[in-house]
Amino acid sequence: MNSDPGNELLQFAARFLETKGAVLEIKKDGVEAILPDDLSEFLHAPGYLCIKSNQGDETDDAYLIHYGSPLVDRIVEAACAETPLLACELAFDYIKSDGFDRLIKEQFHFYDVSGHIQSFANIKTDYLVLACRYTAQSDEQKEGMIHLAFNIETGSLIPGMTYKLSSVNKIYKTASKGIMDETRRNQILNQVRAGSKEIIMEEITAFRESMARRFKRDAANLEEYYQALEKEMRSALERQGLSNELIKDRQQKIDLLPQELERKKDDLLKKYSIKIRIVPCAALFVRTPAVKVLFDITGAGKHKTVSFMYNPVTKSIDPLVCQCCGTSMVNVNFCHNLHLLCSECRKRCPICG
Amino acid sequence: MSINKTQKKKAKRDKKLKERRQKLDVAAKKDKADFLFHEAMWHWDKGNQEKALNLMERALILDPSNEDFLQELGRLGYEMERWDVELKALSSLDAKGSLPVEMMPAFCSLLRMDNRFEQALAMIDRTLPLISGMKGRNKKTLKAELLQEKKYCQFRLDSEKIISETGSKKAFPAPSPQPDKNKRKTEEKLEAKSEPVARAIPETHLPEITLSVEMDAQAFEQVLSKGVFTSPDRYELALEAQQVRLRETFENLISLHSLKDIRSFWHQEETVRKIMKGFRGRALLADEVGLGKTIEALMTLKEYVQRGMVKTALILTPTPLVSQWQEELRAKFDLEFSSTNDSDYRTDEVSFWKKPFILASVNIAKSKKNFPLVVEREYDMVIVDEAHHLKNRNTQNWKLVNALKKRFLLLLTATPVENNLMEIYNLVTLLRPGQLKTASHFRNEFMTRGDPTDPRNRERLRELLGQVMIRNTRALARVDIPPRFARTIRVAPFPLEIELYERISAFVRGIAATDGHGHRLLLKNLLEEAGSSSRAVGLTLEKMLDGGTPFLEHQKELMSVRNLCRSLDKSSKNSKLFEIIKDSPGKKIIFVKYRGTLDHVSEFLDSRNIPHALFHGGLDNLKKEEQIAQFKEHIDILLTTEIGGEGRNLQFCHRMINYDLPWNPMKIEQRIGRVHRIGQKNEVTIDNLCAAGSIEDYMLELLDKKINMFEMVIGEIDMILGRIEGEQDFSDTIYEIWLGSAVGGEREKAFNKLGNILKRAKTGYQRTKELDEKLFGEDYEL
Repeated sequence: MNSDPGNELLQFAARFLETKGAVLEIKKDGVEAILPDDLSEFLHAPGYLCIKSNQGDETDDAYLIHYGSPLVDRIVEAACAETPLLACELAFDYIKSDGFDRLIKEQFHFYDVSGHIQSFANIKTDYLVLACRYTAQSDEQKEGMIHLAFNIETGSLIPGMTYKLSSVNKIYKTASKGIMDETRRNQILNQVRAGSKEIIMEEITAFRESMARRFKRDAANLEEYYQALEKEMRSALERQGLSNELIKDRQQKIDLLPQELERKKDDLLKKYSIKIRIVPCAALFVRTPAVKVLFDITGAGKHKTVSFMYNPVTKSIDPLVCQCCGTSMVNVNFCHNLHLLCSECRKRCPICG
Repeated sequence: MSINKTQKKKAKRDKKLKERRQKLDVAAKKDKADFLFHEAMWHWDKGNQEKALNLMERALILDPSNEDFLQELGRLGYEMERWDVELKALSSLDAKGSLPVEMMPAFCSLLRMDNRFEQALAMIDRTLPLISGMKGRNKKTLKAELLQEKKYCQFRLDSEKIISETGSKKAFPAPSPQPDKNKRKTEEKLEAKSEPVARAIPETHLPEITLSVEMDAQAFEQVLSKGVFTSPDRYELALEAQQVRLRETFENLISLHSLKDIRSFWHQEETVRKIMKGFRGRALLADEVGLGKTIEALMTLKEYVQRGMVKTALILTPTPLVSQWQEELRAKFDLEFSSTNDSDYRTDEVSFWKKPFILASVNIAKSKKNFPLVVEREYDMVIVDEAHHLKNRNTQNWKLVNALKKRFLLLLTATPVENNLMEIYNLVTLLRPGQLKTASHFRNEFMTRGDPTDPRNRERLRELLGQVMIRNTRALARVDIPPRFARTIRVAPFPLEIELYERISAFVRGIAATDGHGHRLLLKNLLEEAGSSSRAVGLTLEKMLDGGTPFLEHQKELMSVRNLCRSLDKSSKNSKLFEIIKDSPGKKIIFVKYRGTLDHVSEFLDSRNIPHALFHGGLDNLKKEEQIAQFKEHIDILLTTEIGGEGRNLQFCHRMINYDLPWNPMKIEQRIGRVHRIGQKNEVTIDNLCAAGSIEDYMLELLDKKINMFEMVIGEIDMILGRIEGEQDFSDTIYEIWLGSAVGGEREKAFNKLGNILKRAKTGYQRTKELDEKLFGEDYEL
């Protein structure tokens, strides 16, 4: 009988104890550990701890580790207590040195302008990879994790970078250093707000559809109920022997039914509407060699130089950023002053006014 | 010269025969289509529009060019406010050039609604000149409406052109098309069949549910302004800890990666999450048939086991399903359960009931002897299959489940209410006593006097049931498989084949009469093999004679029959098989039950130079893969035993031939399920070969003609057989009838009686299904 993904849990617990200064001995059926005093106190566990994952191995002095056990809960709490920030630098054997114009043409669409590459150069640039946990609250709750990667210099949200990062060589750094100024921080926060919504929407598609379905169903039931109620109330009006006052009073109640129905529908809408809360779980600051490409845009009788960033991790050009709202984009519009705008902002360039 | 003439004559005869067969085929299809169409009209009159739609669509598959069908389909689509259906019907009529003039305005609107603006414009241009000839309409209004539609369509076409050129999505304000309610009224012929029924709010009138995102800005600020970097280990640990947290909330299912040979569907995974998160392990799983309730229940069990939350479990099922469950538990979930089929149970019952994981027949568990043993201990989890058998609280079934000490409880049934709302009360009371208060309170609050199936206070009842019940529908799960069709091909056996069959039957009858129930399995198997092929039965007889038959006094007869098998090198089914293969090119799977039959058919196909892939249990995994690959890429025929295709994707094939027929309808369904499953894009056709006068012939008469089993939705045959009283396996019932009745009238009578029982069971099931659809609808979906 296969009943032990507890092996994964056991390994997780062992790693945690080790990082906290415990001395471990890995056995066939579990782990034995000698804990520092503060850790022992924190975990409410003795200084000498024996952890097992298999139910059959449980003894009086061995802790059985499984999802929901108090020991696991405390370990998780400790591991998540602080949001860690890790820094690394990437190393590549080879970085693309040509063919950027083809890449740009393939990836981007420019409306009403034309362009060509002016020059490009090897540089170093910084990215921030945020692991975030979201909770989507509606009639039910859904939780999950998303990973977002931003270019710190441009604020652009890079799709697919977090996944591809795992296969790249990294040199980790531990020195203290301030990574970004307030302006950049605010820009990133805006990007997180915008970019995370899009990604989470996709993650919770089935959940959204379920809530929308339930909303539609409940609203239809409500409508049906009120129609039946109105019909019943109207037929009650036709009964013999009702006084004028009573008829008036009941008629008033019937007249109020549509309002009541609207209120109830509104309640339903609030019930099923989805509120998402995002918190950061971990941040990874990545410095990497890259290629900056300067691109000349011509349109509306004007010229402008736009910077593109070739990303060696994704092996593609990073999206551009709307100069108005900060949304990352690959379909780029321009106002008559050649400000870079997304499809929403193009209606009226806020910078030009 | 004369040879040529003979050949020509033969060719001409063959051609005539073929044409005649094709004509008969077409005629049979049209008959069936007519039947389905009339059934559809009947259901429509009864107000069951969904059923009517389903039947009408099936009729159209068989007779796609029937204009009457198409017109009625259009009307039905209109009544159901299924614009897609209406559009499909009118498009087909238009393609044939048979669209009635009165339906043209409606068609224009539908094309517009479907964003086919160019076609809409063309249609409007065709319709406008014909308005004057239309009967009894407000022609002026109609013309104005059509012109407005035309204006709108033209605008949309122009806008799209601009958008594609400039990339602007919101260019200019659009003229409004006709309001939906007015446009539809131009269809005069579409009168309401009865008083207008309150309809659900059309989707366009409902606002979208909103989605807002709130960031813990402070936490983000803190991270981004941090100056101290951590180590990679702590970083990884933090991420892993978050994953552990998600698993603890049941958001991430940990059992998924350990499932074997199954691909869980999103509705199943969501159901498991809902059971664990929302219902805390106590739920009524009432999905429609074919959606995998068993999988959902077992995934839940596996989740709990892997999390250490369940260390003991009891699964209760009807007796015929025990082995099926045990196999599923082992093969797909890697869970070993002791069952009441095992020898453990027979040798030491007391110890058996102390085991941690038990799979038991309800009938055995509830017996006087076992009841106290079963209920005296505690279980972490109890699963009850076919829980509609618990609908009556006065039965021993209900009392047993009620008496069990359990933490988690799952009740599985596709038909939670069969005759009376009290049935759902009894089920829910097992899950959450007090959820629906007392029985009398339930009756007073929720039941209508005089109609035990019509609920009052629906809203309140819905709320209460929604806290314990999940009922996913096929529509929600998007289980959209094309239909399946079957034909029975009755073959006249050769005289020697008749003799063989009769001698085997007589032998079996003779032994059974004297031996009672001894060697029942062996004797039944002999008969089944005889229905499969002479090779199969011959091999068994060889083994019996070599290994020392238990029927020593009949040894002479056995040897004689064995010799008869040896002399039979031809089979009447083979020529029919060859015909089917030749008449319809394309991929086919031929199913056989026995290895002997497989070898025999393979030799035959070789003799006719028909390349084929072979699949049976004797092949190693590598060879099995090779054979399937051959079938997929190069060869049109796969000849396989019952294991064929298990866990493999064979949906690229949509024709199957049952060379022989298992006596267990569930096995037949499993065969069909190899190709008729999600992913299948074509209609599946099933050819059933049988020798006239054999048991299989009678079986096909029952299953195909009486209850139309081959065209049912997957899982329905199980529901129907489950309604038949008694614990006896269907195959045993067939066997008993064959043994117990003489040839001719008596046998016919006995099979007819079984046929009527099946028909009644089917009618009863359909009634229950309709009742449950009416009661629950989509209210308990995810």
